[in-house]
Amino acid sequence: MVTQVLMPALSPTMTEGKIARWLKSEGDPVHSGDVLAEIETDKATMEVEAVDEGVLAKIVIPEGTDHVAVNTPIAVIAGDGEEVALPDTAPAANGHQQPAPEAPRARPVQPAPAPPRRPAPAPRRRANIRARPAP
Amino acid sequence: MSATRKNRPAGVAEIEASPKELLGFYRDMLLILRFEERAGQMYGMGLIGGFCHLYIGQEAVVVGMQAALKEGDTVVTSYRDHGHMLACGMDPKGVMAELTGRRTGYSLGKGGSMHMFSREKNFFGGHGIVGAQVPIGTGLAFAHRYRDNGLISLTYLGGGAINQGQVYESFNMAALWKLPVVYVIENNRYGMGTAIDRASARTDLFHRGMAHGIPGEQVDGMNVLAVHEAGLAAAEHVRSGQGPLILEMLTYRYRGHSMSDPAKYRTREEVERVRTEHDPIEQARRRLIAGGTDEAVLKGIEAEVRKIVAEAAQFAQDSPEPDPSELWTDVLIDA
Repeated sequence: MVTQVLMPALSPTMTEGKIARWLKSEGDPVHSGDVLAEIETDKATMEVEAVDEGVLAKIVIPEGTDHVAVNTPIAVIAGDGEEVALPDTAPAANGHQQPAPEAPRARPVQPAPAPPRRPAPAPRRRANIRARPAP
Repeated sequence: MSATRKNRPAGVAEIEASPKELLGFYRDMLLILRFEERAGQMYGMGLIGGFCHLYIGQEAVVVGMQAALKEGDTVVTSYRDHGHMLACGMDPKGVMAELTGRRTGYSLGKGGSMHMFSREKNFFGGHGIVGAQVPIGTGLAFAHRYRDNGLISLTYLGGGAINQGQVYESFNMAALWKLPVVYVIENNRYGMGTAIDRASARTDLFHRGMAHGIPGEQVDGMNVLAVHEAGLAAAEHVRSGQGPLILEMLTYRYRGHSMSDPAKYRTREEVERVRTEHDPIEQARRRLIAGGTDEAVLKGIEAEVRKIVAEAAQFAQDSPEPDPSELWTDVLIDA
């Protein structure tokens, strides 16, 4: 099941925030409790934890993007073994009334090319994954 | 009576439990975890407002203790109370609807996260003031003693509340009158953002009753079986009329103190380490698998729990808000 990760309101008065840092990359496995990103608000920098499990299929809003409104989709998580076909303008394609405010702006250049989208494999161990207890 | 204490270091002794019992514990802990995750998510979406203190990581404490109680025993705790309510058997729909402030919530949408009660399930709140629940729990024990009904009072408090004066006034009365109360100190190492060793001159919290002759025991609060075993012994002790007892649960919360806590007072590595080495649900899962439980059974429980939580979330979103006329009800003076 494909789930969207929305920009959370990290305080009752928060209306928008900045994605300071993504702690996971596209293709990384996601377990509930894993920290996905750091969000900068007007008050503090807070961590966003994943609730759903699967693979981080797509980072919709890249890091460094400011003025991201609360409830804007910022990433997509695909269930294990799912293939996610997404156009690049994922927010607009979903018919959201509020497309990511950054849409008209050019996306900041990623330091490395985005990994090619491929069918989400079963989670495999990579260097940047914290060790999980053996089942 | 001199204070005796049993020190139970974390990770010691394999405590036995029937697979059926452990499976029940696993399910109850998982329900709390998924419920709290969903509540956190809904808070982020703006569906829950005000205060919201999540219990994630501490599930074993409330599940192990609740299973040690008898029908009719009363429970009172602080504001980190969603787990306690679910463990008492309160309806997840009613709890979630109260979080979202709807009229179908336990407090008709007027109380919120910290102010829910259930006379039917013997849950006496849900209190926002740090330590306030301790005199209340002691009073409940007084009522049990007065009525000679064979019931006990389970009073939960945290590492921050333990330095409140009213706690020691309560300890004195409980010991003096041999009230049937078990004080469960949920020591998750922090009082909001202050590490316990920066706030307390002595951090062996299970000793705090010594001045009043109340025995105490330290328990690995991440091991539901250890909690349950300690809970059974404590309940029997206080129910027999020997007076109060303190259980210090060594536990941990993975999330911040509340939803607006950036939690800069601890490293991510510390959180990850506890999660990897001590996670209560993972521990139970591993024990179940090692004991021969089929993975399919556990997957079935996961699915059942997720369904309960999804239904509660949907109910909470679909329910209407209280009517404005409710501003004038449930208040001291009828307007």
